Amino acid sequence: MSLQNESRPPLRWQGYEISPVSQAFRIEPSPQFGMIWNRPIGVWVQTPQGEQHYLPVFDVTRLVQILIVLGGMVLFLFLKMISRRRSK
Amino acid sequence: MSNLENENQGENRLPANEEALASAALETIQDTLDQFLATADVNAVFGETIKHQGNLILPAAEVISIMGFGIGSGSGGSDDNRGSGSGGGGGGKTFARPVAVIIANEGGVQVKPIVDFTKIYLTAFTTLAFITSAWLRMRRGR
Repeated sequence: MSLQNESRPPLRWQGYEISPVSQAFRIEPSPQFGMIWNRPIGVWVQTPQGEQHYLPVFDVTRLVQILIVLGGMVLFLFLKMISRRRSK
Repeated sequence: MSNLENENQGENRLPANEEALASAALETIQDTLDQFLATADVNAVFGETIKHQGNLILPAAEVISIMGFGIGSGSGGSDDNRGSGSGGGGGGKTFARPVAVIIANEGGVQVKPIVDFTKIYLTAFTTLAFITSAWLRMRRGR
């Protein structure tokens, strides 16, 4: 199992220099099986003035999905708690 | 070790040429898997750039690749009816989903997220269905 950050050679456009960064999560539990999860994590941007800043890439779909599932679990626990109090 | 045990071990052993074939197949599988794991780099995540009306567009996607192989061999039978064989199989799947688009123009560089509403609706409906069914089961159980 390993986690590795990789960046691509910078792209140049109208004075800007853009270096995309990705993260690879590798699982190789046996020599016959392997899984890789690659995702973009951000870009390094260098402005024509020479300033460098980092822009993160967020997976909004995944974040909303996690929030919905967590919200559902909290709601379920809340309903269960109310139900127990009423039954007492 | 007795003679009988030695004979039994000999029965389960593959002929030399088949052992070599099985070993070669295993090596090929291992090489393929190594190559597959090596191909997962930054170029799989960030696609080809698109230049359009003074904008540079760089698509970014999440890529998940799964691959597995298996190989087996064996031999057996009685003295007059002996046989051996080997076989293998494998499979893999790659999933990709767009996550964001990076746009560069005169105004600067921006990261625009891509929202998959179908996935969000499906998650919401599944969660709601789970909560409703669990809630109903809980009420019936009282």
